[in-house]
Amino acid sequence: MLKKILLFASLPLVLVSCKGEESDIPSNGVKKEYYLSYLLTSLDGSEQPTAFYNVPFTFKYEYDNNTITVGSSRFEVNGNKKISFDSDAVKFTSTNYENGSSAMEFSVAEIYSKVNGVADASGNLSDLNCLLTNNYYCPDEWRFNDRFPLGDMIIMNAVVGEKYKLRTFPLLSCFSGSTTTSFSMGGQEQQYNSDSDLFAVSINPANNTAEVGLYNVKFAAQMPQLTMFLKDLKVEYTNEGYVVSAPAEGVVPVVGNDQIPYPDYIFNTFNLVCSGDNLASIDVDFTVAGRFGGEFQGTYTPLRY
Amino acid sequence: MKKTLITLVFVAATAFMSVASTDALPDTIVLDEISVSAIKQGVSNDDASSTMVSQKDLEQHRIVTVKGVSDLIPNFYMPDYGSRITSSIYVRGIGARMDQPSVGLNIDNVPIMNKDAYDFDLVDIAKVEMLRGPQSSLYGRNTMGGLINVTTLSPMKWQGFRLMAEYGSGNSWKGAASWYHKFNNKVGLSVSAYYTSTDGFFVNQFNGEKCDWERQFSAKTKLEWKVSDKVLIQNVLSASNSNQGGYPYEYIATKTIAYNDTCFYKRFTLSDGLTLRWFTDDFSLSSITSVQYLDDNMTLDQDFRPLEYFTLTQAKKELALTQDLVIKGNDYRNYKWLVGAFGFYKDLDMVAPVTFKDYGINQLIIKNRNDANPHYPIEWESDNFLLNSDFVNRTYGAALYHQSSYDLERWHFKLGIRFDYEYTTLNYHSYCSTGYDVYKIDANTGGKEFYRHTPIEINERNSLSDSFFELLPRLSVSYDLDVDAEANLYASASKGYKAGGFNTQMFSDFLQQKLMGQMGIGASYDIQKIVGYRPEESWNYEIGGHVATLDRKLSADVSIFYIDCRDQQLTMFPDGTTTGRVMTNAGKTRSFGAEASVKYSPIERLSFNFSYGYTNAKFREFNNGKEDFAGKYLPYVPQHTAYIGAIYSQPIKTSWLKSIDFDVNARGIGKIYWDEANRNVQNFYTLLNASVTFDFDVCTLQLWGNNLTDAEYSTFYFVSIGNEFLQRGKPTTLGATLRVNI
Repeated sequence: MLKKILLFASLPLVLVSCKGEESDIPSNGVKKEYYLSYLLTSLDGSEQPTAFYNVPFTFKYEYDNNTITVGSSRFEVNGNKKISFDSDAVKFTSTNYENGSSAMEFSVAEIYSKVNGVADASGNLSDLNCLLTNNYYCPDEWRFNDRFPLGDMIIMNAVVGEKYKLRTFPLLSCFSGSTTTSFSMGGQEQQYNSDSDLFAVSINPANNTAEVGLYNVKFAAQMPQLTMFLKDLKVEYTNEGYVVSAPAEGVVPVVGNDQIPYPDYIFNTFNLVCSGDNLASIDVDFTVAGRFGGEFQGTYTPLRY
Repeated sequence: MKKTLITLVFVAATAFMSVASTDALPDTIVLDEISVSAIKQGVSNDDASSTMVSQKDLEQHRIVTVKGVSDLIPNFYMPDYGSRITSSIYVRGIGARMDQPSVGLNIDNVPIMNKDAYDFDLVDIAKVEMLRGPQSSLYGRNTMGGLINVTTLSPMKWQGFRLMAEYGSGNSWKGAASWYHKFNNKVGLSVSAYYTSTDGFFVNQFNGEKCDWERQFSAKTKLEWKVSDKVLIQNVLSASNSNQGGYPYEYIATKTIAYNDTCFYKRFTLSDGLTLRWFTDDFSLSSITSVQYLDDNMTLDQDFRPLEYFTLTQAKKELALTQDLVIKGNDYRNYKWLVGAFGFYKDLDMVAPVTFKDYGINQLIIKNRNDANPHYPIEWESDNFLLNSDFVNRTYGAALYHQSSYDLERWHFKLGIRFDYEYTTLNYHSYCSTGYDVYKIDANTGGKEFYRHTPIEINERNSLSDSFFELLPRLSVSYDLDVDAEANLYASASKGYKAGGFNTQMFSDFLQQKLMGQMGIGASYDIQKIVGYRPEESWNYEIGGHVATLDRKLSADVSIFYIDCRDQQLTMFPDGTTTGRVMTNAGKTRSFGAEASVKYSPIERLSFNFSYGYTNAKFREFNNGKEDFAGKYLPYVPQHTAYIGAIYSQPIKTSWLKSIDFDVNARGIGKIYWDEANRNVQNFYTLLNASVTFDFDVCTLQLWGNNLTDAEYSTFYFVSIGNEFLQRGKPTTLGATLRVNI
């Protein structure tokens, strides 16, 4: 069922913005293309932030000398979709994790862009920092291959045209963290903490909506652990990042593969803010059933094994 | 030639010395004839706590199982509960109730590779030797608590017909017939058959029938062939078939045994062990090869209550191959050495379906689901469904080992080392196909209308693998005391190891959680974390001594020990509404204690036997995420084991009656804590036993009684789906045993 959501939320060819041609980081001299989504915010805050979806980026690895280049033939900046650029080869550092996954990091000081082959500073990138990794976890039903869910994840930020801040974000992202819920019971204020929660956010670029999955959450000791999905939430982009929120009338979560509504757990309010240099963390506050006030802080989830 | 002959005689005497003692007086401890496996350890084993139970003792106490031997040996506890698949063995606080055993079992030198085959009846046992403490340097895996060596009667040592018939309480029958023949000085053959049947002692109140009935048949043939002066061959082929009800578990809340679904355990085993020995002037080469096949089926009413909860079947077929090669230097030098190589392969195929039934579906699934969402209640599409799990588990192992010993006048030094490697894989297929209907409750009318049907399809296939490498040393020093007796002191330090592996019993819970997960309720288990368990390792430090007067009237054996254990494998019952048991590595534990055994015969007709063991075993670190058990006693470990007995033989001067033997003994066990939190306990209890044996020369008739005071005690406790159960010990039993040796 959730795979249907992903199909709806993303382009047919690439279901996740970070999915490349192969799931493993390639060996020597390989070129890989990724479709990235990113947020452009003006450095002076004078313009509305804009999100761009599934823009192709190409990475070329040379393992003999540990260098990498990044480029694009259809980079977008505020309506101009024909910007191209190719960086010089820069050194990358790599990390191998015990779970068999790996990560690659590199930085580029300056990349010059062109439009139709002619230099065009509007797409120049500076202070580009990039992390490519497959050490990234999401629940089983959101996976796309057996070993590493979501393929490679790219986290990139840069300054564009000395005017905009670029930050990539996956259309499907998972954040693990802790939830604190406050409620009143028997006339006494009580609090319940849960440390192993996971929130998954799936953005549908077609209509700027999102679905949020709350995995194994519990708001009180007496409550069973539930995995709930909040559908058709509004997505707004801000200078800080993006906000996912419920409508004024609230949202009834659906639970289970059969998406059964759970009216007793209606989210009267739900506000998810994703911010930071890498858009890799979220703060959420919500109210459930008019009684339970919750807060969740989470960050990107590395693989659990 | 002469040297070879001397060597052959020496080794043969070593190998068969203990068999020759079968006609001696009852001898729980035989100081200078403690011989575990002559192949690896020779005559003397003065640097360890060991007990040998002779054939006469075994027959005196009518012992046909390893469980029965545990009554006589300090700190060795093997309770009778459940069924024959349950061989729960605890030695000095080291033990296990499932998966890997903590004590090795050899039958005629063949290592029994599956603990599920440990509990069997065996006739014509010549001796049972129990070595306590790790024996891992010579015997490898799963001998962390000790080693039991069972040697059956040799056709080269005894010839004729042996018949046994026994009848006792519970309509319990035993019958055995054996033929021992020596064709010439080189070849001997024995064939034996055995049958036992019992109606049991405990009634299932649900159907009014006894639940712990049993029928068992076994047969064995033993061939011994001295091919030449340098070559000996022994082959033992055995088969057994048992069928039993089992599981007389009493629900504590109602103090009754009452369950509605079928419980049984059926088992067929077939094994062949071939021992070849080749002697040269300087060394001997021994090869022990075995093929072992096990086919069993355990079916349980998993909730043990008269409710339609669920049933479990666990049916497996296992083939095991072992090969041990030992090269041993001859024992007439100060320096003695031994090197060996061991390899094994086990191939296990198992199916373990769990049938969820009506009440279980309602209580464990529907209730949880509808309590969470009463607006959209569900009803299951059928009154039962299957959670299927199929497994293929293959394990390979190889080891190299060496032992050197050096004698310096009264000092004896011994150093052993073993390199042990294992690789194990588990292919599993867990699957389930079922479904439920969802209804919607009209908020205004309260009426219920069909909303949708939800199928549940689970199909999980995967492979897990793990490997373990262990270095297992042992060091001992012993000193012969200069007194007018055979006596020595010893000290030893040894490392023990119990293999890691995969706990398949949790798969039904995994599937259940997966099913609930598809409904959006509860967290799914991480299968890697709950199925795999790590090896358990321990260090055993021991000081002890043996003494025996030259006239054999008095012998004694004392020891004190300390065991430091890491990653101890413990069986835990997960909280809440699950039934599978999980093997977990419990952090750190420690155990210390003492053992003493004394045999005294002031006159030829009278002998006293006494043995006592004390074990103080506690968790040093163990937090299961919900509770911290540091400082608590290990569950299922008796703190005290004691045995005291006296036998008096009165000669009768008639032509038809030779003597009458009077035997009175008592066995004490306890206190035993049943859980990690030490909230439930079995206090110390004593069982009084007695017998009178009439020796008519051609036959003996023994009239006996066990638990004569009808003491009430429990041998097992567990919790399932939040319900507490006990298995009670057997009540007073009376009977008669007739033996004829022709």
